[in-house]
Amino acid sequence: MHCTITKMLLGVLAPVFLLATEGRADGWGLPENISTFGGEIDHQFNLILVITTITFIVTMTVLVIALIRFRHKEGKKAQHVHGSHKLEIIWTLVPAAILLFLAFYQTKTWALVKMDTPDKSDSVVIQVFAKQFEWNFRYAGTDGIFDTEDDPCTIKELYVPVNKNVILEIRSLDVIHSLFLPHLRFKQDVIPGMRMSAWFQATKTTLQARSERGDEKFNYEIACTELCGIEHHTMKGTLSILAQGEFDTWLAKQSVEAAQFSRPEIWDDWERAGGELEIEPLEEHADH
Amino acid sequence: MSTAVGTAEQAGAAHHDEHHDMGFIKKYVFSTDHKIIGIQFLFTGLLLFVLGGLLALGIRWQLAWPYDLPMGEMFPESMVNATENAAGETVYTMGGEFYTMMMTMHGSVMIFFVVIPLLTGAFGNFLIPLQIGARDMAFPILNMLSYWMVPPALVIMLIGFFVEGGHAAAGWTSYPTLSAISTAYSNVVPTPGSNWGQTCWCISLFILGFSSIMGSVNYITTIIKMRAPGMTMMRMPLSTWALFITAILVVFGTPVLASALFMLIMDRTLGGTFFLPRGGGQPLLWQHLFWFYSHPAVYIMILPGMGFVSDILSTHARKPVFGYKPMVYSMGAIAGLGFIVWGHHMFQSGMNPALGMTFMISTMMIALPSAIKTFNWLGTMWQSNMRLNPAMLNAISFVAMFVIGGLSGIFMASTPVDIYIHDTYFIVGHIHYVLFGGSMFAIFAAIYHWFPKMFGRNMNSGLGKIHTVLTFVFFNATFFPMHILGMAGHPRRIAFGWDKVNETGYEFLADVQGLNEFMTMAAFMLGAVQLIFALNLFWSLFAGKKVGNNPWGCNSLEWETTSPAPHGNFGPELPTVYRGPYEYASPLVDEDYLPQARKLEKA
Amino acid sequence: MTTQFFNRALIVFLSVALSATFTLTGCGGGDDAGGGGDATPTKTDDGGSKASGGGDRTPFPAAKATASVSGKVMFKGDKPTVKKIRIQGDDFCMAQHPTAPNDETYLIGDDNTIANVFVYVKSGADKWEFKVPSTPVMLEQKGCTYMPHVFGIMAGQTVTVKSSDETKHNVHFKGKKNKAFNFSQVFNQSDDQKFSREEIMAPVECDVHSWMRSYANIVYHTLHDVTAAGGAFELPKLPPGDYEIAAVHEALGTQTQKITVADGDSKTIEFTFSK
Repeated sequence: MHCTITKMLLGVLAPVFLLATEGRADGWGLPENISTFGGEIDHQFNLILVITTITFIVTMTVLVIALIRFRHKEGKKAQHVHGSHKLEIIWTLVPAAILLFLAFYQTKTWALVKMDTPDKSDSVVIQVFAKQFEWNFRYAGTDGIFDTEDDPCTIKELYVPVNKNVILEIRSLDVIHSLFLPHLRFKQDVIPGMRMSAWFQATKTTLQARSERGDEKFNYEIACTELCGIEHHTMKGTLSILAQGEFDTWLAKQSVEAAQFSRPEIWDDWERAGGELEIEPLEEHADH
Repeated sequence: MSTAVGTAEQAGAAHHDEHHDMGFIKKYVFSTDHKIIGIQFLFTGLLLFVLGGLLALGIRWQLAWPYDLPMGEMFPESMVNATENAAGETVYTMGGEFYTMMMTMHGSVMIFFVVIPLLTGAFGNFLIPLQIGARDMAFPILNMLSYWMVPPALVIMLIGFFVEGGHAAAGWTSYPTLSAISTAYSNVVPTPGSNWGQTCWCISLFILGFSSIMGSVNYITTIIKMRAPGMTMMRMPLSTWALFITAILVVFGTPVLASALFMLIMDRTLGGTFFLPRGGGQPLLWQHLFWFYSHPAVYIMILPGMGFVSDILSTHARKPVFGYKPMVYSMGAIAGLGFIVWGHHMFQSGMNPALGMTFMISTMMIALPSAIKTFNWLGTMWQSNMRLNPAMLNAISFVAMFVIGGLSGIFMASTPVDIYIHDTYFIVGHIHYVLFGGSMFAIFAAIYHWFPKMFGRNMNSGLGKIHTVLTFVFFNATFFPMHILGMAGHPRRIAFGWDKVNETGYEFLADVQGLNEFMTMAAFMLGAVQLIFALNLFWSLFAGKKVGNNPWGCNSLEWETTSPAPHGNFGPELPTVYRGPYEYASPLVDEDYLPQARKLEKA
Repeated sequence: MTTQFFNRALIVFLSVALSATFTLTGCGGGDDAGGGGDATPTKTDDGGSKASGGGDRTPFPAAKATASVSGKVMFKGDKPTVKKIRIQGDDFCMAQHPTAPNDETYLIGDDNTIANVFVYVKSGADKWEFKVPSTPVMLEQKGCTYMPHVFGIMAGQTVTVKSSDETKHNVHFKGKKNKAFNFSQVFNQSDDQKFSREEIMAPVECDVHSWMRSYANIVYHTLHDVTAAGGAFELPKLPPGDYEIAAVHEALGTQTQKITVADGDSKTIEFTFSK
């Protein structure tokens, strides 16, 4: 229902900017949501959108009426009032109540996303290592243990199973990055020197999305939303959501192949990057 | 008591000075007269507004048409990418280096060299002594120094454009480690600006911080100690109140920024590791320190505007300000709460999520005083007798745009919603509604309103109205679509979302790329419209219609003296204040205004 | 009183101007803070080769250089397995490599010869001043790999970095003694760079494609070569004297040999690496 309201609001606004779009499915407005908690975030967004839109319309109506009715007339005098105690109390208490309600109403969703991290035992754990300007991903392989020969590594391509909790362990090698999965309503900054973890659960596979959109090449995308250097805008990737069976097959195949590929050098720094360093000092200054 | 003594001395000093012919340099360049210093700040700010605006247009061009940079040959070779197309013509594109640098400098110049100096430097200096009935600032030399800290800061900032590697390119927030890794101490170059550009940026802002602090100490002292007889705190115009509260924010906030900048300079030049995990530093420390200053700085950039708009609305609506005391208290509340909301910039940073909740609640609550102010402005306009001149139109635009800016802030204040819109164009739209829609409209309003007092002439009203209306239209066309971009998930600070010619970029943003083009066209129109303002300003400076001392029929003290005000501001005797500044439409007199300094015979 | 004010104002302004000037010189002087000037190779802190002192070097006697030194670099023992590189995240690059290419770290032939080994005169040439070659060294990005994978260059000599790929590359030199550089390149773009100090196996990476890597070997002279497939190298002609020749492999380390050559000699030497 909120979604309809959003679309209606945007529909009203759309003619203001008469510009054709290329007709991809997401269009304007919030893109399709494909995560378990995304619906709640959208709900909060739409709730705030409704409240702010009503406030905006009311205040602007008063403003426009005042502009029309109270134009300058020679010889007329304005009303000589310095305020109204009653009005002040009303327009302090009413917004205060709305804002407090909003604030407390949001906490549940926030806790769900950021604090109630699911248990590792029934989740897929994926390590994410950010560097200028690549997202590196590492999976535990079929043995379920990291740092073994069969750990598949991917660059800029994240594979996750659908309908299963995915825990991302995120670190950065050099500067601050931010992992953004717009369709999953997922975002987490990555601070060098800090170990973080975040989670999501996808509800739709890429294949489903492709058939729904009628676009064989469609892919969910990964973005970086924290300025990380000159190629910040190229730091993107694709997110492939696979059915559980396909994911298992993919992982098994990758685990076998993993030994044939040279491991991207960045993973040598994974443990170090948790606590110490991201760059090497120049030798001539090393003793300073 | 002390006020009386201070004024007596001041009067004496002013008399003494009048006997000397001061010479051009002393009078206009190294002046200690607050009015001249204010005007110096005004023109410095406006000049840099041009620079910041041009940078913005460069950014907008890149975002709309990333595949083609016209006149690319004008730029240094290292900054642009040149390729040959099929027809054998050289095609230039901007590339990430150039874009990131421009975007960083647009933010830094606009915030630190345009909005803050214009609001607190220009109008703070010009208005405070005039509105409280003082002959000058409490510390005139300190005041001169606060202006003359700006040129060195500016020169260093501008030199950054020409150093090897180009200017700082880590955003106006300059988050480490991107900004803290310098080529002097590492074998990597995280951005081209990590060479000397970023260091110049730090040093420049460090010096500029002194300017702010010196100015603010002066404002606070002047307002507390040098008010004219009868000018109680609760009889001060809201502009002065706003500047007073702003000055307190600056005095508490700026030293924190200065210390953070100094730590960053140490990391960059002396091998420190405050913000580098290599030596046990913590990049988040910068974010805490930076936002501890920069969030109050957002209010530094809007509070004076609120004050000016309150004055201007009341004057041109010919009606007392609605709820003077709630206005003052809400500004105080904004200032107080402003220091405990900085964490809302860091919801997604990896800061403890429990802390995020408390910051959400304080942030939601800071919307309250802003709401109260808005309702009071509407109350001021209701049942009024509005003159729709350029100053008033700008003030009304301020109110309307500030409503949007304030309301869009609630989205960011909500932690779960912020997960999605954090660091997207939604926040870019929000800050431009507050900074351009808010602060810049207030600055325009203030210029139109106080121009007669500054130069004794009025600005052309027709041109002013055209400028205001067109600015309003193109401003909204430029910045409102940013919210829609943000909803689509368009990250901020990326060099382009979707390049439709080369088919590169984020595919989920392909739909909204048309909006980017529309916004850029509107932005160029917005830039062009400002030429009307520039023309009006300079033409009026020399050929504007001469006006009397009080062309608007204003109550506050600055309109008691001549236009422009003489050295020492008032005649041999300072005015005495009998009432508050907003006695418009008073039933006690026939006219629709009753100046603060007019003594009424008891009826 | 006015004069007093004026004097004070002047003093204050001068102090501000002075402090500004200092800071500015600090800023402007940045050019040579990071690693020496551009074209003049300096010999101050390069550890290995300062034996003969820096100041009194004579021009390289090209006319007397008649001895030739050539040879092979061999591998002994169990050959390391050659792994593949995963090309991902860039449609252009993936199209260039339908099958995963081999990692270029170990290019060991069937006859146990090693390619991509940098061979140079480590000591014995310090007494001479060399002319910087006017021809630039080419470093090309083609098919999302750097070509060549290992290159030698004289300090002060130009390296021309070129992109022949229709995608965005980013050239990031991460030396530890030379000033690092970092810029992006689009199709057909080329940029010139120079190094100023001796440094062996300094990586040039691409921040956009992490598998791309090349190694720059910067020395103060022109007496160097890189082994091709087949493991053969040939140094430029040397004047008679004692030399220390070094062979460096990016993963296998360094081997050195001392040789003495006379006029017109033709020496063959062999380096053997093992894992």
